[in-house]
Amino acid sequence: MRALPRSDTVVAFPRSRLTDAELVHAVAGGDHDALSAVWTRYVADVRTMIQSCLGPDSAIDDLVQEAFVGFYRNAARLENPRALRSYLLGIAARVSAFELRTRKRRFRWLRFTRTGTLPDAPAKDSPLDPRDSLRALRQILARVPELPRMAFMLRYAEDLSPQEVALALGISDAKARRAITRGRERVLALARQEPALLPYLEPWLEDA
Amino acid sequence: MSAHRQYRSPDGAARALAHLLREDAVARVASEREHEPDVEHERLLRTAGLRVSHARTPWLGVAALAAALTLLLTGAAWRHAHAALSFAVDGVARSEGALVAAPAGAAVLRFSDGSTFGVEPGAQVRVEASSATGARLALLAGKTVVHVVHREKSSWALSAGPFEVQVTGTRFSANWDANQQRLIVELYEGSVQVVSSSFSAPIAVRTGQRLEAGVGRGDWLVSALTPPPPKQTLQAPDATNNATPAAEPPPAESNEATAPGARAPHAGFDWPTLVQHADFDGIVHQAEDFGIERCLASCAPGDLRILADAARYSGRAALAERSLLALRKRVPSEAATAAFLLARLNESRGSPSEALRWYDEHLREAPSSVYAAEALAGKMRLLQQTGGSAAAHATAEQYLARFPNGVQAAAARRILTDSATR
Repeated sequence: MRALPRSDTVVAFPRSRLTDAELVHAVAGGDHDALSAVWTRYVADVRTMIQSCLGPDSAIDDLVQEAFVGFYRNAARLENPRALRSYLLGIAARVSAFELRTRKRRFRWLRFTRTGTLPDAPAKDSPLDPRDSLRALRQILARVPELPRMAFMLRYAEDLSPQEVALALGISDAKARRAITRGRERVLALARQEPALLPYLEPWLEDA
Repeated sequence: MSAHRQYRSPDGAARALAHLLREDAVARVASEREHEPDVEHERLLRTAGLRVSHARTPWLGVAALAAALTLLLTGAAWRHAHAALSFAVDGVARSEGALVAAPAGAAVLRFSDGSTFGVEPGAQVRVEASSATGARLALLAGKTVVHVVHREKSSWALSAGPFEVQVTGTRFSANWDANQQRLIVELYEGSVQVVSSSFSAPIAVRTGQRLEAGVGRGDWLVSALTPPPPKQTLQAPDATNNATPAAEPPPAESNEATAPGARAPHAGFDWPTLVQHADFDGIVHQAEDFGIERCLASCAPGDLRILADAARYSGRAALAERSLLALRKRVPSEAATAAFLLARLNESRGSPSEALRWYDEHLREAPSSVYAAEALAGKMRLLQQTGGSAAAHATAEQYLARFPNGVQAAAARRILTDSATR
């Protein structure tokens, strides 16, 4: 027969096994282990979101840091700790938007043309290059106002529900829905004028 | 593209475009993660630890590194003679300013001279500064069980609100209720001195005594400590409720033998080690070998709590429930905490009515517990889910009245707004 189990000490459970809400509370209390667990759990999501917004960019490492430091500093004020992923994706969207906005300002004096956009290269006869589609889509997104653009990315690239988009952006459900609709309409209106995106839109178009 | 064509499904078209970006990003992130994934992680922890904004320009980092290196070299000789005590939380080294909290289970803050501060669930302790002879800590909330190793020259202080507990070598617990602004100090061994602006002179608290003090002038009382202090306190959440308390305060020369955490050794399982290795299945299997019924009836309260947590973490909700019910039955002072955990368990397994019942039970049994805010928030959440904002109205009001700056305050305000507009 075995003896009674004993517990000289009770050790905190590994942070990796805590729920999102428990992690948020721990981070709010200054627990660096919990911050590490949040990092491990969500760094790929945050990085992917920033990467989706900016494309290949040398600032991505810094922006990922900014997103997590932002979370660390505001963890105590998080309204719904269970929606940690949405919240982090929201921060990722915001730091990306801020980067794009300030970059425009920083490099305005370097523009070659009045609008800052280089003229399109002559159309090529070669088959469509996916890089052209990506470039075209990013140019379109740059022409969409900030809030609808962030809402569009969170809703359609990250597949968040409208409620999660609201949480991520810290706005009301109604405002999030309006921003999603506005972002979608703007992107689709611009995209149908862009030949490089036509193959992706064809399956979703029909005659009126 | 002809203008008369329209989108069959705007959502589908939008998703097709957005996924173009996402798939490209996913592929890039996957390839980037192959190189030095920990570097960025370390960088985050450094930033968080120092609370400085990150430097985007590499030379700033290099300059900072050079400055730190210079300081390091010039101060090396001095530090050798006056090395400050280092400390770690659950084995992980920390630096000054570290806030130690124990959201789930307890945590142990251990200094290099062997002194320990057990941080109980819900408590928060910050290490303000450490020196060669001791450290200054702040108890922000909750309870800590302290064992300061006696040395010829030592200087330890634990502040809590307007109070400061000055320590030489001793074993005691301090419990600070930040809401009520009340401090309780219980001396298990040695003596401490408590100073406060509300005292006309420092108050000495000795072995076997208990000091309870508020912030008003004359609002303090030193009484005998009953029941006698438990020997095996420190990290266990059930520390003060253990069924085998020490009969008498130990003699001063037996510090090591009676240090917190020291417990009559007996052969058998070592569940804390299994917990450290996240071997929750191992804990459950050992309990099964031993006999679940037998363990529920005879295992130490701390073990029951471990078993409940292990069962919960390994997805055995029924066993977790039985363990928590046994804990409630056998240890009345743990009943309220067990009720809260039962509520969480039921909420997570989709039994809102049971969860509500346990949240209510917790709030009735321990209205001012460290889990009170979470319990009220849980109740509010469940009522809203099951009956809408109107059903959650009263609880939301209650939450805001008690925790106007709580993490769920905004959610509570939304509920009030929603229910008012309907």
